[in-house]
Amino acid sequence: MNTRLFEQLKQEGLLSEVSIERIQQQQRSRLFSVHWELKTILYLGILLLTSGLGILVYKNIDTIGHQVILACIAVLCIGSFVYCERKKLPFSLAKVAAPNSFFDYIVLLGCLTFIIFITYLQVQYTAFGNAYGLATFIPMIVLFFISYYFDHLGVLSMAITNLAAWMGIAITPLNILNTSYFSDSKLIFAGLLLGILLNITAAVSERRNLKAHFGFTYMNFGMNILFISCLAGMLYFESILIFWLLPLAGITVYFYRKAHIISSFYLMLMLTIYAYIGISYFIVRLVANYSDGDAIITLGLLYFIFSAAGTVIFLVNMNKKLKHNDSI
Amino acid sequence: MIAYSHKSLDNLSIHDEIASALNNHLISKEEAKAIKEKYPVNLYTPNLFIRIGLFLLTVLITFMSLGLLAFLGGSFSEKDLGGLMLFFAIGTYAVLEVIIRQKAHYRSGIDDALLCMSMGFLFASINIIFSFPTPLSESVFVFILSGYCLLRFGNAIMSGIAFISFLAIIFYTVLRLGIQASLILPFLMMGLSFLVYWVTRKVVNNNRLRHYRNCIIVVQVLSLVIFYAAGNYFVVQEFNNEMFATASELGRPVWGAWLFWILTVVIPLTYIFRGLQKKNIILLRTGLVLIAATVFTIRYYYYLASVDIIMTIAGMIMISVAYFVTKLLATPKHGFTQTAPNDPQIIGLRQLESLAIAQTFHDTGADTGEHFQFGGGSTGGGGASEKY
Repeated sequence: MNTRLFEQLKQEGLLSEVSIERIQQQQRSRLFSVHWELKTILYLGILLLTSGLGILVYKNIDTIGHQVILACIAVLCIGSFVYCERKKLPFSLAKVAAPNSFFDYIVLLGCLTFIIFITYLQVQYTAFGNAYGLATFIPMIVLFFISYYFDHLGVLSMAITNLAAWMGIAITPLNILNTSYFSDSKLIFAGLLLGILLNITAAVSERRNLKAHFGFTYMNFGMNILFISCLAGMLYFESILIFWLLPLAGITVYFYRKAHIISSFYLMLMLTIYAYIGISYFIVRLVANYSDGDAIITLGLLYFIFSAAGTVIFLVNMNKKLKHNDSI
Repeated sequence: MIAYSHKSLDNLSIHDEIASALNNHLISKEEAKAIKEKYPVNLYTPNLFIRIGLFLLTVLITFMSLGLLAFLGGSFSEKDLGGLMLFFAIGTYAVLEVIIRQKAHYRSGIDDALLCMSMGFLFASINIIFSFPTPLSESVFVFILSGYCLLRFGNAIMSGIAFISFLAIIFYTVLRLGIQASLILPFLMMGLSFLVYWVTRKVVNNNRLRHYRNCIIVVQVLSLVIFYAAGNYFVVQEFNNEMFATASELGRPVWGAWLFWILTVVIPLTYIFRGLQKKNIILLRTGLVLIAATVFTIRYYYYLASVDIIMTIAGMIMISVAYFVTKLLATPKHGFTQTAPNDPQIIGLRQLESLAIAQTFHDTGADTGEHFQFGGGSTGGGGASEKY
């Protein structure tokens, strides 16, 4: 708040009376906000508490009675959710704000204690036996429910991460019959499937207004997983490398269009980086296959210099194009 | 001295103020637009993400070119490589000056990359060509380089490096005096840091240095940290062990241990207290962060309890503190409030916050024990030091 600046602007007649009044009022009642300090302390506090509890539980599993520990964790978990249930604002499919800054972190605390509880059950009592898929499935469903019910982006991210873990775990037992050659490839296809699924969810959320603000988180995860799976496919299936360029090109175009629609610089950067890695890998393999020692290095370096220069020009142009509307 | 157009920089700060005022609903959109048109900014500053991309690509191009020339040149001897790097240092610097003058680049990723690499190449090449033996001459060299960059480009990182290298120069000079050094060094460093802090407080609002405001703030924070570190018991004790203790003396407490313990505990508390008293956010935040350092120092020498118990208790304490202070400040008291300031720079922090939560808390599956990642996202950061 620069008093001198606003004085000057007032003199030049660029500010209306209303604005001048508001500015002066703001300058008179300058409150010192410790909001972010408090939030950071709260966040770190939860981090320390849950980590400490986790390690404590893990180390003292033998000495303290299991029932006691389980009971304590359950109490903390239930307590958190009771608090949230009472304080929350009415449910709606649009964005629901948190009633106070504390609320979001209590939801988080509740989710974390729930996960600790389930983990503890599994480790101590093998409550789920060997059905590891089920052990990840239940927390995932609960996390998704909680993220929608209490409108919490952080919990949504945790739920999506759980989904990815579950798909990874659920797919592998099917491979026991297959040879090890395909065992990794299943993960790549699982990744592609997951990426597509997440992006469809993002699109549906936005179009049907089912918590449209969740759309970005879904798309973010989906995009990264899709690109990584494509690149992994290129790296893994060396012989049919060129066929993986098609899906890579496909998703690049899809997200390129999307970046323009939602004016996202972040998305533009990510797709540029991924596509560049993919194309570069392809070219370098090509060069390596059809030339020898010295030429490879020279051609490779030349390729990088010119392609990087081209990408710089591309990014600069994209910056200009996207600048008209401003977002992430 | 500064490479950028003064007018553009001034107008840029006007734009920032206007954006903040607009976000706080103090002025109307039309007014903001009119003011922005009257004070245009001719600098090329792309979006942050584009900036990152351009940075990476510029580094890639430069290193590939370096590789190409080195490869085509044939010989890989050290001296030749050093000479090549020197050539690149001068070349990248020349390009930097040109794009700033011709295309008005300002924090565009490309100029960041060119500056970093130019300085890096210069430092590396001088080291290779002359093989500097002494840390003292290295410090002098780094100080001159970073000081120049600080003055020429107003780069906050360079200002930090300049300050540290300045202290390093004093440090290594005093070290040559032998045993006496171990006694006066902590106090000398503390004195210097205090002096620098005092100077930065005086000049931070100086109009002639307005383009260097971010740099001054960075140096201010660093001086507070160094002041603490120089008096911190762990630092003094371990330094003493490193430098002067013979094998039999290792572990023996350093002279005046009691003094440093007092300093270690009192300084962060003083920062917090003064920060709250003077409503100085830099003091407050630095103090809060340094409390963690104090806790770590105490725990290093006195085993109070195992890590998990400490973490659990600390967690409970912190949550309670946050809760009660929030409750206390529900209505503003003594000029403090717990509601969020409505700054546009802060909006970005909210998004960062949800990303930080997702990063630090994710489940790793049900068949192993829970592993929580450390490194909680800090949503702090001095008000003016977000952009540089």
